[in-house]
Parts: sequence; C-alpha cells; structure tokens
Amino acid sequence: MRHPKLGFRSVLSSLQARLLLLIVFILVPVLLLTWYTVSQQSAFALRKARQDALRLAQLSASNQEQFITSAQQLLVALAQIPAVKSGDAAACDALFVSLREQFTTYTNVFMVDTNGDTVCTGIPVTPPVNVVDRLWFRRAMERMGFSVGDFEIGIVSKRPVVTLSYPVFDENNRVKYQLGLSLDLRKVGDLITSAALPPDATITAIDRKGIVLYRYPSRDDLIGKPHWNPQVVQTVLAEQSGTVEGTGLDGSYRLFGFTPLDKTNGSAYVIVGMSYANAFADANELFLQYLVALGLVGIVSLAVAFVGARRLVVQPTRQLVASTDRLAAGDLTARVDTRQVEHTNELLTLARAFNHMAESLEQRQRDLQQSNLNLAAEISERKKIEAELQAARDSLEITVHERTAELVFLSEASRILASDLDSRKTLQRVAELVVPDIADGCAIHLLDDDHILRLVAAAPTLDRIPTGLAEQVIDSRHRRQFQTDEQVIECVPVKIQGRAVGTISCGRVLRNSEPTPYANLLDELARRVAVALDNARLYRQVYEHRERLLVTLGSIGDGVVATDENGCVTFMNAIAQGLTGWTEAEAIGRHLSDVFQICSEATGEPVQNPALLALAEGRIIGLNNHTILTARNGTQYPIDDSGAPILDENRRIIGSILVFRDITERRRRELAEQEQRALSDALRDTALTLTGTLHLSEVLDRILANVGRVVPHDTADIMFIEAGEARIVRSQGYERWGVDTTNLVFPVNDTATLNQMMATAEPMLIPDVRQFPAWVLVDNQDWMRSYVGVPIILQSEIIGFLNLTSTTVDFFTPVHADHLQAFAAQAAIAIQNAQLYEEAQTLAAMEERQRLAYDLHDAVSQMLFSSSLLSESLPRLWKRNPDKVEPQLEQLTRLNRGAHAELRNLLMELSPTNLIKTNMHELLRQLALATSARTNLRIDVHVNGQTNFPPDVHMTLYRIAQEALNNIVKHARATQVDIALTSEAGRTVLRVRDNGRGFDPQHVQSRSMGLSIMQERARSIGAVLELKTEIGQGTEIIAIWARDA
Amino acid sequence: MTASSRIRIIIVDDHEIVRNGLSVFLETCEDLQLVGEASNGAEAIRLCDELQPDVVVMDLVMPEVDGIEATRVIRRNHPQTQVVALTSFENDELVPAVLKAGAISYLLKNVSIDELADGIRKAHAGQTTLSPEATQALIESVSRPSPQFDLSEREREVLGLIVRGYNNREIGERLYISRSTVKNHVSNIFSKLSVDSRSEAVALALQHHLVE
Repeated sequence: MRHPKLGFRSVLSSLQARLLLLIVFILVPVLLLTWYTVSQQSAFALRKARQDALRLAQLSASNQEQFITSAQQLLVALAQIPAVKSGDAAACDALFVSLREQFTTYTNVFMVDTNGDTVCTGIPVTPPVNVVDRLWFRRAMERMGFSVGDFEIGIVSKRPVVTLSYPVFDENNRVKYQLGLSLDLRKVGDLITSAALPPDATITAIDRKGIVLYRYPSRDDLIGKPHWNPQVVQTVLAEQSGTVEGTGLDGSYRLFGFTPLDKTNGSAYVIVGMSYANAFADANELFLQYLVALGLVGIVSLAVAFVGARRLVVQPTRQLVASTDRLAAGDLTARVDTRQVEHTNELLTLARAFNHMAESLEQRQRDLQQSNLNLAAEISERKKIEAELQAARDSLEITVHERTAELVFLSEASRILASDLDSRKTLQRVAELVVPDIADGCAIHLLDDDHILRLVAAAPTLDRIPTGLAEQVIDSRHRRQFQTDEQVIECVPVKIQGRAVGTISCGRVLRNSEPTPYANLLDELARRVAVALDNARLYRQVYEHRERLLVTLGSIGDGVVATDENGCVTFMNAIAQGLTGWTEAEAIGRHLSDVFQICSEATGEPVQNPALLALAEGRIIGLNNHTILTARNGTQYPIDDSGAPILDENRRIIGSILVFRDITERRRRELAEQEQRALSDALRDTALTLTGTLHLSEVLDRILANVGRVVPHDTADIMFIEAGEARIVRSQGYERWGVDTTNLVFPVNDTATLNQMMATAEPMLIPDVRQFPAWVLVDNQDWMRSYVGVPIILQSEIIGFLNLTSTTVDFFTPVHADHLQAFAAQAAIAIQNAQLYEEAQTLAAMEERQRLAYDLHDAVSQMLFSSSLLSESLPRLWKRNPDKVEPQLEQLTRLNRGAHAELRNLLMELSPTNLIKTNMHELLRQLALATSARTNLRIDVHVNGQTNFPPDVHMTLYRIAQEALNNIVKHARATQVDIALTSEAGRTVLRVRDNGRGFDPQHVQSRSMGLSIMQERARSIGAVLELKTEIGQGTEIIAIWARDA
Repeated sequence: MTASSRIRIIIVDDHEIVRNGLSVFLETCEDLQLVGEASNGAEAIRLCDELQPDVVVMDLVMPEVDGIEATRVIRRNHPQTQVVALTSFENDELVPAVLKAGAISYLLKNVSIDELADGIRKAHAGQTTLSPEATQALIESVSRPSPQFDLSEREREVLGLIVRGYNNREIGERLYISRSTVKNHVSNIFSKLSVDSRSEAVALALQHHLVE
C-alpha cells in the first residue's frame, strides 16, 4: 500500500535507465573494437605512408643517380672528343654551350686543367673561374676517374649543383684536363616531380651540412640555408635512409622519408615530406565512418530500448501501480487488465497475482462486512444483557461493598492472628481493629487454666460489660445480646472443638440509624480467634516437642539422618554431620546417597543404603555389617547402619531415618578383645584344668603343671604366706639342681623380691639375678639367671607368690609378667575354690553332723517322750482298760530299745572312726533297729558278699542308706523297707526299697535335698545312684559301686 | 470342768510313736476325748474344719505345713479351738512365734501326763500354761532384742536364697534385681549378721530360723 510515487517512479526510471545502461554497456566493447580496428588501420596507414615516403625518396634518388649516370656517360663521351682531348678551347666552348643549351639539367659543362683553370666552359664567365679550391676538383684530381663532387651552390649559377668530373688523359695517360658537369638539382627535381607525388608532398635535398640544396615546391628563399628542422637533419645524417616524423615548414606534422642522393659520397640527401594527415586520411575516414555507424546504431538501439521499455515495463507496471493505488484507496474492484500486459511473463504473473489478491481481498471484505453485520446484531443483543447485568451488578455492588468491609476486617483480623504466636498481643490488636468500624468497643475474655474468665484484650470506649454476660455465654455456648441505655452489647463465644474457651464482646452506641447486623461477623471472628488460639497452642506443643526431639536426637550417641519421602535429607544430627563431613545446612535437600556414601568393606562395591531401602520397602532394615562410610573429605570409617521408615498416622511412608555409628572404636576394642580372648582361651584352658579339681594339693600340682603353658621357665614354685613368712608349698624344676625346696621359708619383709611384690602388688622382673644386689642366693644357685615373680592375690589380699626362674639371662619379658599375673589370678581362684571347697566340706560335714545330731536328738527325744507317756499312762490304763496295755508295753520296750540304738548311733556319729571300724552289716542293722523303733516301720537288712570297703566308700554307703531311710520315714508313708547290700565280682550294690507311695521324679521338690545329697555322696566315691519310683508303687534307691572304678 | 461334755482333742505330730503315746495317755483321762490324729499341719487344719475340736495338741516341727502355720490357720478359722503347742524344742524364737500365732500354751516333751492333762484342761478354759523352759525363752526373747538382726524384708529374701544355695546372679534373676544390688544386700546382710562368709550367714540363718 505504501508506494510513494517518487520512489515508484525512480524504480521505473531506473528500470529504463538500466536497460539503457545495458545497451550502452553492450556498445562499449563494440566501440572499443572499432577503435582498435581503426588504430590498426592507422598504424597500417602510417607504415604505408612511411614506405611511400621512403620509396619516393628512393625513387627521386635513383632518378638523380640516373641523371648522374647519364652525366657520367656524357662526360666519358666528351672525353673522347678530340677537340676536348686537344683542348681546343674554341671548339670546346662551342660544344659546351650547345650542350648546355640542350641539356637544361646541366647548368654547366666545362673543362679545367690540372690547375683548375677553366679551359673551356659552357658559360663564359669573365674572369674565368678557378676551381682549384673546389672539393670536386680536389677529389677529381685524387681519383683519376669519375668523381662526383658534393652538392653545393654553384658559384656561377647560384643554384644547387653537383659537379661531376671525369679526367681527360693525355697520351701518357696522365691527367690533363678535368671535364666537369654541373648538375642542376632543381631541374632534376623538377623532373622527378612529374612523377606522381601525392598532394602536399615536398621534396627537399640537403647537403651533408644540412644546407638546403633544393626544394620542391620551389622555395628559393630556403635554398642555401640550413634546413628549418634540425632534428630531422640530424636523423637524416645519422640514419642515411629511413623515415622520420617531424614538423613541416608550415608547422604541420609531417612524415619525412629520406635517402642519400649520392651513394658514393654521401654528400646529399633527398627528403620527401608528406602530410601526416594524408597518411591517415583513409584510416581516419574509416574510423569516422565506423564511429558514425556505431553512433547511429547506438542511438537507434537506445531509442528502441527506451521506447520498448516504456511500453513493455513501465506502462504495465504503471498500470499495476495505478490498480494498487486504487486498491489502497479502497476500491477493491481494481484489477489489472492482463490483455494489455503483453508478452512479459513475469509481469503477467505479477498482474495475475495481483488480481488474485485483489479478488481475495474483495472476498474478505465481503465476508468482513457480513460478519460485521452479525457482530452488530450480537452487540446490540449484548448491550441488552449488559444493561440487565449492570442493574444486577449495581445491586450487588452495594452488597459487596458491605461485605468487603467485613471481609477486609476479617482478613486483617486473620492476618493479625497469624502474625504472632503471642495470643495476648494479637488479640489486643484484633480488639483494636474492631473499633471503630465494626463497633464502638471490644473486649476479649479467655478462660485461664483455672477456668476463670479473664480479660485479655480490650479496646476503649467500651463500658464494662455486665458481669455474668460473658459467663453466660461461656456456659450456654451461644451468643447473647445485652442492651443498656446507651449501648447494645453483642457477646459471642470463642469455641475450640465445641468447648467455649472465651468470649468476644462488642458494644455499639445507640444511634438513630439502624445499624447493620454484625452478629455473624462476630461469630466468624470468634471462629478465627478460636482457630488462631488452637493453632498457637498446637504450634507451641509441636515446637516444644520438636525441641525435645532435637535435643534427644542430638544427645544420641549415634549419627541420625532423616529424609523425606523422596530420600532427600531433612535433618542431620551433630554426630552424623561430623562423620559424613557435611553440615546440616549443606546436606538438607540433597539426596541421601550424595551425602552418605557407603561401600562394602570386603569388596569395595557400593552397598544399598538401609534408609533408602526402608523407604522403598516400608520396613525396618537391620544393621548392615562390614560397611565403610566415605566422608566428604575422603576419610573412611567402618560403620554399622540401619534404616527405618517414618510413617504417619495413616501408615503412609513420609520419610526415613538412618542411624549409624562409627565402629572404629568398637573394632579396635574387638581386636583388642580378640587378642585378649586368645590369651583368655589359653588361660581358660588352664583355668579349666586348674579348677577341674577342688583338692588343694591337686590344684597346686596343676598350677605348676600348667604355668609352663603360659610362661616358659626352668623352675617354678608356689609360696603361701603364713604369718609374715612365705613358705614354698610346691615347686618343680629344682630337683635338676638338687635343690630341696620342701618347707623352705622366706621372711617376706626381708626378702627383697617378696617385699617389693608385697608392697606394690605388681609382678617383678629381674633380667639377671647376679646384677640384682639383694638377691638371696641359696646353696649353689649360680645356674639361676633371670627371674619373674607375681603375687597371688585373693580378694585384694596377697596370699602368696608364684616365682619362675630361667637359666637364660633376660629371658622373661613384660608380656610374660602380664601373662603370669593373669595366670596367678586364675591360680588364686583355683586355690580359693579348693579352700572354699574344703571349708564347704568342713561346713557341710559340720552341718550334716548338726543335722544328724538334730535328727537323732529329735528321734531320741520323741522316743523318750513317747516312752515316758506310755510308762506314765500304762499304770492308769491298766486300771481302766487292761487289754490295751499289753501291746503298749511291747511298744514301750521297742521304744526303749530303739532309743538305745539311736543313742549308739549318735555316739557313732560323734566319733567317725567308730563308724568306720564297725562293719557294714552291724551298721546297717543298728540303723534299721533305730529307725524301726522310732517309726514302726518294718526294716529288713540283708548283706551279702564282701564288706571291706575303703573307708570313704564304707562311710558313703552307710550315709546313703541312712539318708534313704530318712527320706522314707519323712515322705514315703511306707510300712516295709528292705535294705540289701550285695557285693560280687568287684561290684557292690546297695538297695533300699520301700512300699510307700512313691513319687514323681519330676516333682522332687520336697525330697530334692536328700536325693541330691545322696547323689553327691555317690559321685564322690565314683558310684552311680539310681532311682526307681512310681506313684503308688513305692521307691527303690540303688547305689552301684565298682571296686576298680 | 464339766463332766457332761468331754473336751474334744486332736493330736498333731509327725512321729507316730508320739501320737501313739499321746493317744494312750488320753485314754487314761475320762474328760479328754481323742477325736482325731494328724501327722502334719495340713491334715490338722482339715481335721479341725471337719471335727471342730476344742483343743489341738500341736507339734511344731513337722513337714509340709508346720505347727506354727497350722496354729495360725486354725486359730483364725476356729477361734473357739485352742491350740496347745507340744514340742521338744524350746528355742527362744519358736516360743514367741507360736504364741503369736495363737497358741495358748507351750509345753515341752519332757512333761508328765498330769501336767499335760492339766495343761489341756486349762487351755480349754482359756488359761495359758507355759513350761518353765518356755517361760524362760519367752522372757529372754522379750528382754533381749530379738535376734532378728534387723534384716529388711528384701534382705530376708536374699538370705533365704543364699541359704538355698543360689549365687548372686541367680538371686538377682529370681528377685529381678541387678547383681550389684544383690551384692549390696549380701554385704548388708553380712554386716548385720556380723559374719564374713556365705556359709557363716547360712549357719546363722538356720540357727536362728531367720528364713523359712
């Protein structure tokens, strides 16, 4: 649309101009070609001209030479004439005159003698001429032949002549006379000129000095003067023959061809000058013709182009432009007439395109118009609706306006409530917010912890609300209104989860205008206050809880890392930070696997992160073993780690917890422990051995036997401390040197080693006893070189010493000392055990004796009592009921006998040697007697086979029988007991069987003591105790002892 | 002593010969009627429930339920039944214990039948009879601070387990206390009993019946 006419026209003209320019450009080479051709032609013409000039010159020269030749011939002929020969002056003169008249070319014919005096001449001159100083004469006299003189101006004729001479010889062939001819150059020249010369050509002859001898066309004023063009002369004299260009006489540029006239002498040159212009006349003419033709062609073609362009391009485009203009102006019917666009396809296409566009534009316009119409219709429709809407909006606006104020208030109230956790502050601000827009005064009450309603916030100008109003509202949980003379007070409850926790009271001064109701607003406010209070409380709770949690987590000795459900770190306690090298701030948000990089200790391959696995699987992932954590700075720690998912109350996974600890220390400890364990194992083995026996002497033996396993040595001894003296109770190795250590005693305070160990309770190492000043040497103990000793410590008391020696100097190391100390501790325990066992044995024996005494005492006293009852009662019974007496008398007897037996038992108990001395049968019989007397049990005793038992077996078997019997008496409720002791083939069996109620061996509570005692006894002699019992079937106790066991 | 109703008696003793002797003795008394015999405390309690005698002649040292415990139960359940303790022991812990349990009389088994009959009759009438040795023991127990050694309940428990042969670890397990606590108790017990070893403590405990 935007086509400023100027621009458009410039386009047009430039199109034309371009076309013209194009043509011009085409013509240029043509022109060049033409010029080139023409210049070639000129050169050619020049060359031709030169050639012509030269040829002309040569022609004239040759002509001249011809003349000279003919002259020579003439001279020769003359020389033959007798008159001449004789020198007849008169005849010669006449001859010569006639010759001269005939041959006009010769200015003179003459003869001179050898002196140069004229003999005869064709031109009689007085005085006669002497030619002796003439060049030709001299030359002639030299040559003796034909000679040609220089061209010169004749003395007589004043014309350019060349004198030729021929000698006349006398009879002696001596030169007598010289014949001479003077040739008139002009005449020669005139003759030549009859030859065809181009117009404007000139012929000039010069002599060797450059003096003009002759000129055609004639110019007498030039003759005898130097040539007007010295350069040309120079060139001519220099080059002898050729062409030269130069300025002509008339000043025009001329071409000169030149050649010497006289070949032999070089005394004259002929120069033919030609008009330069003529030379190029043809060429120039041709050029001109070409030029004209070219010009014509050029003009014609330009004209054609101009017109053509105009017609072919400018006009159609102008048409197009015009149409476009019309289109731009709004006439969408504008079209380009394609018929008028002729021949040029591009323009046709353009025109067609334009038409197309115009057409579519027209169509568009039509469409637009149509839609415009539709739009207009719609718009009017809309306007109607809008009007309605507007009406509604207006009414709404009023409402909104009202509401907005409320909402603004509420949102501001919410903002205030949310801005701070300090409820007092926020509530105060809320109360102040209420005034003055909503109400004239506001008071907020809250229930404190004691359920007393307290004023927490108030805005001014509110009279004190009537007492009880707030309480009523709290109780009823409903709002109430109260009216005074001046105010209306609205009070609403603040409820959290249905419970009223406070009230908001607002008062409005009574005014004339009807106030807008705002109770709902207050309710809403109360709701928000409730929410804010609850939130504050919850937040505080959560905050405190979190604080406690953080403290807890912080004080856990393990590293703790928490992640969200995506595995990104949300929390890291101090230990975790320390171990991983990440601070919490840096780690938060990053994925756990960036922060916590673990790999297997064995393979170095990365292992699964337990927390991430817990996250994925929703279960607790236990401790990994042998995991290495690589900290941020590359440090590696062995760790134990475990992960657990964090679940919310709906059991959805919301994160995970990773707990881990650096087990380097533990490892170290474990390693140390392992080492320790190795030692312990060694010691334990020895301990087992040591504690395998409870007999002190065996313990001591075993101590010495095993100390070598812990520390190698040559001799060893054990000392016990008794009253300040250390006594060797056991030793080994000394016998090799014949040292008897039995009962060797060392006063502790006086023996340096013992004293020191006593004082320090530490081991003592002596690398070389000879170097030890206080060493006590006993007998010849020079074999003893190094020593190690440890105190045996029992319950913080040193009870003895364990001493080792070696024949090697500095044999024992501090490690040996440590081991020995550990061993001594075990030895101490073993010793203690043995001692305790002895004690226990003694005690047990004591206890047993006591128990037995008690039992016996009990038994005897019962018997005696019963016996006394009977003996007192029987006399009286005799009186009342004599029949009952007799059985009782028997009983009495039995009792007494039994008591006696018991007493004997008692005595035996009190003296164990008696017990051993009495044989088995007797013992058992006595036992049976005593027991049956006491209990009305029938007891049968059978003893078979050998009864010499070793004392302890003897005792033990008796005791077993005794105990069995006791048990029967106590628990069996039997009536019959059988005791059988049978020995055969080295095997002894003691059986005690009753017919009592038996018992369940699983429930042996009440009997356990007795049974275990029996078992212990049996074990102590290497016997086996069996028990056969069944409920209702009685009980049998069997002890089996093998003699050679 | 009313002749219309004889005093109904049951005798409790784990020795048959004693029961036999006692039954013979009771036969010689017209006003005393033997209605039942028991060989241990449990039987005695049962018999009392069944027969509701007037007097129980109770031996003290018996298996299962001993005399003191039986006395306590019988006296609780049958307040009108009197218990006469008849025993061979007169140690000064037993006397106050059985009297505390509710026995009205304490007689030793060196008593004559007349003294025994008398004691039974008096007991039925609600009068106490103490044998001189028992009186002596009672006086001694009152005048001398009871050799309870001021053991606390826990210490008694621990001592009981020591007597039964448990080591400190086992005691700790049974009483649900730590080993160090046990050790504490043990050392307290030792110092209160003025002993240095477990075996001494056991002996003392048994001697003075400090534990059940």
